[in-house]
Amino acid sequence: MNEHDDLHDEKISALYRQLPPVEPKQETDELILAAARRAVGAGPQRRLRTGWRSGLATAASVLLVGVLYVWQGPAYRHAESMASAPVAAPAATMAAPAPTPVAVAPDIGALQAAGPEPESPAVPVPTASGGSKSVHRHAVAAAHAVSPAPVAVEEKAEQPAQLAENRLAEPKPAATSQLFAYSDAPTEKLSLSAPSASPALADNSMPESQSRSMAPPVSNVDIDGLLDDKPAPATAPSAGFALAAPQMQGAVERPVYQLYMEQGRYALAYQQIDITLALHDPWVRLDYDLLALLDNPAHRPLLCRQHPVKRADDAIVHDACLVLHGYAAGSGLHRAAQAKARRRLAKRIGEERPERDYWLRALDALEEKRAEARKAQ
Amino acid sequence: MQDQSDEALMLAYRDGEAAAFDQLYRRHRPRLFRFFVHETGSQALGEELYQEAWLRVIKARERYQVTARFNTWLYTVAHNVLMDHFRKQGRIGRFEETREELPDTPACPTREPDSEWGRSLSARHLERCMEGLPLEQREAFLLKEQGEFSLDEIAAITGAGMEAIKSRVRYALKKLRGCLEGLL
Repeated sequence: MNEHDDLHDEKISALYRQLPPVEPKQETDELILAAARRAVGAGPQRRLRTGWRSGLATAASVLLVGVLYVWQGPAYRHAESMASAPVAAPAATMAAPAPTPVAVAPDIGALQAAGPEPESPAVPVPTASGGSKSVHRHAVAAAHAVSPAPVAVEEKAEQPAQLAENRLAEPKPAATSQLFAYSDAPTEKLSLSAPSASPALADNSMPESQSRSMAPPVSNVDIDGLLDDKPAPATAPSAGFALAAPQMQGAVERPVYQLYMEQGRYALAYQQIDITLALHDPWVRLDYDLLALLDNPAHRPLLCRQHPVKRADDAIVHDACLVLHGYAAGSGLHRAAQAKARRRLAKRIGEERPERDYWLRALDALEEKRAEARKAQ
Repeated sequence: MQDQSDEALMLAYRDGEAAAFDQLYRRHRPRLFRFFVHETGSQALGEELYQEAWLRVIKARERYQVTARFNTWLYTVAHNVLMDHFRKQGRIGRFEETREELPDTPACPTREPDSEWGRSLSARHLERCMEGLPLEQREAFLLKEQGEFSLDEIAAITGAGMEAIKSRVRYALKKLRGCLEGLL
């Protein structure tokens, strides 16, 4: 092939090969490799669970038959005896409509011989299925809570395959409950999903110490309370906030921000959560990029504080602030503005493809502008 | 295990050998990651899509059959992940309209072609020029350069016709040459 024809250009190829190498993070590698190992190891476990379920279903069925027999047996036996017994002795049979111990005992014995006796027959079946459904609903709701836009909710509902992938990555309930901190949902809904209110989740994998350290999420917050002059601390505060992030092997963790109360004022702080649950939500991805900004302590106090970014200054950063405020405030008042800002932001990012450090540069420029304005005053 | 082909490793993983996946992952890790980063123009987003692609590979292992090179299958998965992502963002479809547009690119920097710095600068400039390419053209270019796929394979990966792929590569190169004018 020629050095330069319309389908190949050796100079461009050479230039491409000179691009600096890029590497995924070690956490990403670990997560993928752990998922691969889990997937291979999951086969027998699944079969085991299936066997257990089918055994339980069989036992429940047998028990149901037994119960029905006990309930309806006397009448059945009575009818049978009426059909077969001599006409001379009807009164004795008719006088005893309730089942006698003598009649029932052999049947229960037969049931016990057929399989293990279920201790509380009505409980295990619904608990087993209902429990997993509860986890599933919880995961879906958590993903919805992170992306309150209705569009995202619909997408989630329509994509069971993605949810299955979420389950493949084994999202942790602890992270799930933390995600609710960003919900626009009212407080009652949040409290329903708290670990303590969901024993199936609490005893699944969340350590008790973490459950205790989870502060109730702040919602319905007055946005003005957030926008104080006090810079957010470099580390998570010691009160009113979940300090210890769950450290699960192979989890990809990103900083996520949450409101906390310190000395009667609201401020932003962050903690690490497992993002695997939210991995398939593009809105969350978008916001993670924005939130990553606050990793830089120098810029943390600048972002969106006191609504300093006017639309005329920088439309993208302004929208980013609205999105962040929507998260932070959790207030119905801001939901519409947040949803609109999300859409505008996604569109503009899609079209303009700002570089990764766009936010920092924009904020620096705004800060310089403000400093000049202060000097002029 | 190191001498085994990609396809053999994937079959071994399908049959439950976790170490085979480790080997496979290490072989394809740098290239696939680079593909995603350049395709999205963002390390963070590229990383998330890269992760999603591998998770899909893991999930699809039971259905894996050797019908083509593993590399082609892997990049088909990667292509699907990208398309799903851009479809959700509503970005697919708009690129057809901008096919003839040349990207807005920054002014060419002063060139010192023989220096290391000059070469590095040119390479970085290429990165920015690639970001200006429409999605489909960028993908075709990257599959060709990064994945070293033939045009036939690119057509198979993207599900597009051969002529469409040729056209995308041709346009991509034309735009890159225009963007890199003075640096090549």
